[in-house]
Order: sequence, then structure tokens, then C-alpha cells
Amino acid sequence: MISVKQLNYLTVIVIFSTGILYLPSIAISQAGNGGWISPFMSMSVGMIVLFIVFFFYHRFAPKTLTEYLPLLVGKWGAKILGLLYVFFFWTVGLKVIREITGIVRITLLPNTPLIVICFMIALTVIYGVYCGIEALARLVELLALILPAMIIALMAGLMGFIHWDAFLPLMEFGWQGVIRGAFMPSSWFGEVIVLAYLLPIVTMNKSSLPRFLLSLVVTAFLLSSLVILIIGVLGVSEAARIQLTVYELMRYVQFGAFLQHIDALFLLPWLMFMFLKALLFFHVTVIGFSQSMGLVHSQFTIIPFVLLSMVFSHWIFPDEFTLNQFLKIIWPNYALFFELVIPIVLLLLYWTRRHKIQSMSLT
Amino acid sequence: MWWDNWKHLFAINQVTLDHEFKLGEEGNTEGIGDAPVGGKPVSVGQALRPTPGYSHHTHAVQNHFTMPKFISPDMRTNRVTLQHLFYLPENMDIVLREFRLGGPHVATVLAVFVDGLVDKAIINSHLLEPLMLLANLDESQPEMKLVDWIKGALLPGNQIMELDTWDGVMQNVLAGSTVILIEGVDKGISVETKGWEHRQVSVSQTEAVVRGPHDAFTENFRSNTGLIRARLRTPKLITKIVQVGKLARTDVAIMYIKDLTNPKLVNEVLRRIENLDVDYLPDTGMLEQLIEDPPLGVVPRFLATERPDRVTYGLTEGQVAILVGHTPYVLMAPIMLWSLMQAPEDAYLRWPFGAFIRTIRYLAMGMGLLLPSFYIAVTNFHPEMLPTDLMLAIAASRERVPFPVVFEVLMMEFSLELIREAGIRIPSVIGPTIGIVGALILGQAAVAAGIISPLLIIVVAVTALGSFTIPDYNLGFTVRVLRFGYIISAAFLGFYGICLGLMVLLAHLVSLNSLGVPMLAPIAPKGRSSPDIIWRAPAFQMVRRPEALGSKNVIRLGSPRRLGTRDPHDKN
Repeated sequence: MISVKQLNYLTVIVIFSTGILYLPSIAISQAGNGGWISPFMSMSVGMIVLFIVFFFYHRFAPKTLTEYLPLLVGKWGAKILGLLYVFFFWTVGLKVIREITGIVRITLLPNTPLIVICFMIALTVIYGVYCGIEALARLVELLALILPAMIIALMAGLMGFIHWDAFLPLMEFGWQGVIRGAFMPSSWFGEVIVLAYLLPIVTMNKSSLPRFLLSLVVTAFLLSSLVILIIGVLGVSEAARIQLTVYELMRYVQFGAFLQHIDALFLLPWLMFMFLKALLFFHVTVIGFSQSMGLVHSQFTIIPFVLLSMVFSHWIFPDEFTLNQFLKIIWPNYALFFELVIPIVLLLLYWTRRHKIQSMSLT
Repeated sequence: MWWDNWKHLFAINQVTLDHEFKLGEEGNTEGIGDAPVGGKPVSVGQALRPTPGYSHHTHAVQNHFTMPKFISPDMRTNRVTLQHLFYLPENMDIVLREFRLGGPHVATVLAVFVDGLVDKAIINSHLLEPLMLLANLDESQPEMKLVDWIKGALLPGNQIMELDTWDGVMQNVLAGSTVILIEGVDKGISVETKGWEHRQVSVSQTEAVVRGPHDAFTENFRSNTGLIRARLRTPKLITKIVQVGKLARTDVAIMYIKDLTNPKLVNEVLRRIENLDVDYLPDTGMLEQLIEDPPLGVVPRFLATERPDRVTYGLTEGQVAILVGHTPYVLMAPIMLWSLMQAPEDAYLRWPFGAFIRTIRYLAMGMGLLLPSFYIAVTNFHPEMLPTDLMLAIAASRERVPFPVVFEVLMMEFSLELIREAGIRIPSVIGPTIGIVGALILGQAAVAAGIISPLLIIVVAVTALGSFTIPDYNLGFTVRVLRFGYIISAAFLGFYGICLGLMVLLAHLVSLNSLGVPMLAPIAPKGRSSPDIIWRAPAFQMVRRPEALGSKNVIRLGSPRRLGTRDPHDKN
């Protein structure tokens, strides 16, 4: 069993770790110096998803999404939809692996072949998934303290560089820009849909929903503070132009005259958080697959899923540019379809068939 | 001839050295005695391993002698049985002393004991003297039975047991008691006469402290339990003793505190120990490996300590202590990883100092594990992280060194491990040599010869110091071995390799359990406990036992109501 607190930490880390990769540059390019408001906008999508997940959780308590789908869309529809969700989670895991590989390739190991980096992370992920969801939850609890430490260190190291006049005039592109900047990052907040698989193994009580909402607010706050740092240090036009803005920020950090260029030390925890996210999504992939296929032992599917994702990530995104374009243009539509559209449709289905479903779930 | 004498000498050699000898072939198995004599040759292991259902009794059947279960009143039969039971006269440790009982009863008495296990002074003064001489002083014709008379009036020993079966006789004799058999009586009397040689309680060698008690456990099982009981003077301290081993039995004691330690925990420890299927259990180190789960783990799941004060403190927290006969190390379980990093002194010092020492120790462990790999990652992959002057200094010092950094580091780590191992194995007479040789090789000569850069010596020395500060010997080994893994991963993948390695290690650690308690317990998963990991609260605030141990009472001092807490078992 895992606790609500562990899952809250996990929510923060899952959204934050890959959020800081593209959110700042997208939010700033769309919303200008009002980009720091965008995370709070995209947070609302996460909240909607969270409400739907909790709505279904309270109706079908010990069941996961795959297990209560048959009640909503029938046996075959459930099988297809369940496998589609498995595919979705698998692609999220694939994307995270590819992002880790990309970051490592750009920042740490520019001369190492991509496939080597990818293979090593895949092996680590396989081991991590074998350790189980409980181990993942404990890992998150263990490493969660590093996150505020990392942000505080960033702030402390960059305080001297911030130009506060960059924030004036407030929201130069208006609310429209802020909302446009919030659209793509909302796909990360929508990833709380995994809770539909995790809530049944958590020791819960009635007051859990506010704590999950709070964890979303905290995430938005953390992301927003990073965006503020980026706008203050790099400026709007610079930040909108470069890739890996957070990494650029890390390169600026210096303490005194002797601790300079310590970006590698900031990258270590960041990579760890992304690793945790990959673990979570492969885990949910395995859970979802074994539940929709009715497998008793799911462990043997770990290696194929991870290794396939390694190969596919290499195949689909041969270079960083492809990955970037895919993430900016295609990914939000694809992800929000699974994260927001299907749950809303399921909610409507439940509303129309609620009497029948209630009698079915009782038997 | 003149060389006949020489031939004679060679002939002696030929007799003593039998080149045809092969263990396990027919005809040679007599030396082993019990081995099943069959047509086909058996391997050594097969010959020594008992066949299913093997025991003294079935063995006796092979020799066309039926081993009786109970003691017979007939002395002649008993003698024959004893000869078969202890393999007399082949076995020369066993002493049979036959004598006549003094006093009104006329009876022959046979005393059986193992030479070397017993205190002969006790046998002479408390057994032979009363039975042979003092029995004559009792003029009154006793009304009671012979056995009761001997037990009640003649044997002044403090632990006396009446035995019916030969199995009991065997157990008692082998444990150091003396058993007497009396003519015409179908019972044996066992008198406790243990008195083998053992080391006296002395100063703790491997867990030395400045402040705090200095005594340590010894190889004597009973004095070890005594050391614990002398400190914890409560009738709630329970000692359960089970015997382990199919070939030869070893005493294993489980100590816990009734109404405090979780009974599920005690039952699980008992279950695991009772289900052990081993020939012989020499040490707690082997017991630890046999009962810990999962069996493949890099970190010890038990705390092996030789300090009674540590054991007693653990017992009062709700842990279980496992003692094995003739071993000066006691196992404590369940433990968290942090207890392996704690020295008992931390608690005896004032709290800020304890916290300070622990911080140093954790930093030291981090360095012992990661410093060489960080050195490799920085110099090979990220030289820009260092201040320019230092980087130039490193580059200048490495100018003369022909090897890559990894090779240099591995070489130095290897020679360090060499010195460490040699330092342990070397006879203490020539011990100081190792320091001179080590210092010369590691310090001067390697640099002068141009195979090592001077900075690396600092790195390796600090690493070694760091790993020496780890209080637990087993955990020190973990760090020593894992360090090489990190060196190699850093050599291939720099900081990325270190990061992946750390993730694997952490994922491994969080999935480890020590008897059902997560190893990183009060942190991951979070549990209520008084701060005792790095930060240590003042002693008067250390109110709460670690919740993860599942003790029946989580509050250490005062009443539970004082803090408004509830019993953890209420909610279950």
C-alpha cells in the first residue's frame, strides 16, 4: 500500500520534471512576460481531470480505470479503450525516455551515441519497474526533499542576475497570450489521469481530494517561480528563442568565485525526477496491460515494453528537432484527447446510463 | 649392501604416502565410518551428508544393534548402548567412570561425561565424593526410592534433571553435563557440570567508544545472555532457546521483551530459525545469510553487534536479539539502514555533538562511495566545474602520468584494498611493516615513479578514511564494493552513469525489508518516530519508539496521553 502523501509528492514530481523542459519557452513565447501566469491556467485542466478521476473512484472504489470501463462502454469497447490507454501511457513513458536521452546528449555526453544513453536508461527503468510501485512511492518520498532544495539553490545562485523591470508592463500580450501559453503545458497537468490506476492501492480517506488539488497548486507555483527566474535572468526574447531554457538557467548559477558551471549538479536530481516519471508510466502501462488482458503475472511484460519504447523512441525521433516539433504541435492534442476528452465522454456516458450501471455494479 | 639403510628409509615413505588413496571408494570408507558402503564410489560430500532419516538410531541398525529408546535398569545393557551411542572406544573424549554407591544401597553407578567440556573439580567434589564417600554417613535407612534419595540428599549440584531416554542422555552429555546411570534403575540423572575454557569478558574490539560501557560479548553463550539480562532487570525479558543443526546442534537464543515486541515479529524469527535445514551453524554471520530476505541484497538486514548496551537499547525499542552459541556477535532485527550508521556513543554524548558526529559520518559515507567516481566524472567529462587554477594544477600534475584517470583510480583503489586485506591477515608481530610499506607505496614511490598524480592520492586517502568511519563492518563492505561499480559507471558515462547507479541503488534500498520493516523506514515510507536519523533530539525528547517496528507501545517515557497519541494497534 502507498500513502496519500507519497502520491502527492509523485503528482508534483511527475508534472514538474518534464514540465520545466518545455513549459518556460512555450509559455514565454506565447505570453511574453506574463508567462508566469500560464502554469496556473493549465493547472485548471489538471483539476478537471482530477475531479473526474475522483468522481469515478468514489463510484467504483476498488477498481481501476481498466476495470470499470466494462461498466461504461461494454466488454469489447472496454478492451479496446483499455488497450488504447495502455498505448497512451506507453507513449508517455517513451517520450520521457527520449527526453532524458536528449537532455543527457545535449548537456552531459555530446559525443556518446544516442542508443547507448538510451539503452542504459532503459536497463535502469526495467530494474526500477521490477522493484514495484511501492518502491517507486518510497523513492519519491526519499527524493522529494531535493526538489525544494534544488529550486532554492537555483534562486539563491541567481538572485543577483534578476532584472525586475523585465516584468513591466504586466502581461504584455494580455490574457489571450497567457491562455495560448497555457494550452500545451496543460497536457502535463492532464497526466494526473494515472491516478485512476493508482488510487485503488492507496490508503485513502474522504479528505484526500483537497490534498491532491493542493499538490497541483504547488506544482503550478514551482513552475511559475521557475518561469519568473527565467524571464528575470534571460529576458523574454532570449528565453523564447533557446531550447532547454532551464538548463541555460542552471549554467548561470554561481556561488562566490569558485563554484561556477555546476549545471551538472542540478542536472542529477532533475534526471532522477524524470527517471521517476518514466518508472511511473511504465508501471501503469504494465498494470493496465495485465488488467485489460486478464494476465495473472505481469512482470514478464516489463522488458518488452521498455525495450520496445527504447527502439521506437530512437526510430520516431531521430533528432532533437523532430522531438521538439512533435511535442509542441502534435503532443498536446494527442495527450489531451486521452486525458480530458475521453474522461469527459465517459462522464457523460455514466450520466446517461447511471441507473443501469448502478444495478450492474451492485451485482 | 651399503644402500640398504637408505632403501629402508624410502620404504617408510612408501608406506605413509599411499598414492592409491581415493576418498569415497569401497574399502576406504571405513575411515568415514557412517558413509553408506555401496558398490559405486561416492563423492566426499555425498559420503559426509547423512542419508534421509539418518540418525544415531538408524546407524546403529546397520551395525546389527537395535538402539533402545529408553534407559534400561540393567547396567550391562546400558554400557553396550552407551558404547554404541558414543562410538566407544573409537571416540576418546567420552569418559565412562564406574563406581560403587556408598551407603545402605549396594549398586553400581556409571558416570558419563565428555572430557574437556566439564569442570573436573565439580565432578570430583559434587558428584563422586558425595556418592562414594558421603553416602556412608547417612545411617538412616531411607524410605524413599533410590533415585529420589540420590537426587534429594546426595547430589549438591544446582541443576539436576531426571532422564528417561537415551536421546536426552546424549543431549546432556554433549552439552557438558554429567549423566549418572544406576544399577537397577531405569532412569539417568543429569548433573550440570559445564566448565569448558573460554575467553573472559573484555573490551569491545570492533565497536570501541570513548564514552559508555566498554564490555563486549564473548564466545560463551550463557555469559552473553547473562550480560544482557544483567542490564535489563525485568521479568518481561524473555529468552527462548532453540537448537539448530542436523549433524551437530548449536544453541540459538531469541531474546525479546514481552508485551513490547510485536509477537508477529517474534513468531516470524522463530519460524525462520526453526525451519533452518543445516548441518551445523558456526556463526551469526551464517545465520544472518540464511534467514534474511530477499537473499540478494547489498546491504545487511541485521545489525551484528558485540556490545551488550546496544542490544539492550534495541530490545527496549522493540527489536529482537538473536544469539548463537559460541559467537561474540549478536544479531538485532528488524533494523533500519540508519542504525547501521549509528554508533552507540551518539546517544551518550550531548545531543548537538551526536548530531554533529552523525553528519560527519554520513558525509564520509558519501565520500567513501562516490568521491573517486566524482573525480573521474569531473576530470574526464566536466573539467569546467572546477576553478580554472585547480584544473590547471590537475592537468599539470597529470602531465607525467601515462595512464587514463580510470586506470589510475582503479590501480590506487586496488592497492588500497590490498593494504587493507593484508593489514587484517598479517600476523600481529610483523604488523607495523604494513604501515611502512603501504605509506611508501601509496604515498611517495607511486608519485615519484610517475604512475599516479599527487591529487589522486588525496582523493583515495579521503575515500579510505570515509569508508573507515562507517560503524558497521558489513555496511563498510557494501560501500567498498559498490565504489568500484560507481568508478566504472563514471568512467563510461560520467555524471549520467553516477546518476543511473544512484537510482538503481536507491530503488534497491527502498525495496529492501528487514523482517518486514522497510529499511529506510522513518523517511520512506514516512513513519512517526523521535528524530534519530541524522538529527538527534535531546534525550528528554526521545519519547517515541520507531513506529515501523510495530512495538506494542510506541511511547517510551511517560503516559501516552501526555502527547495525545493513540496506540498504533487501535486503528488496525
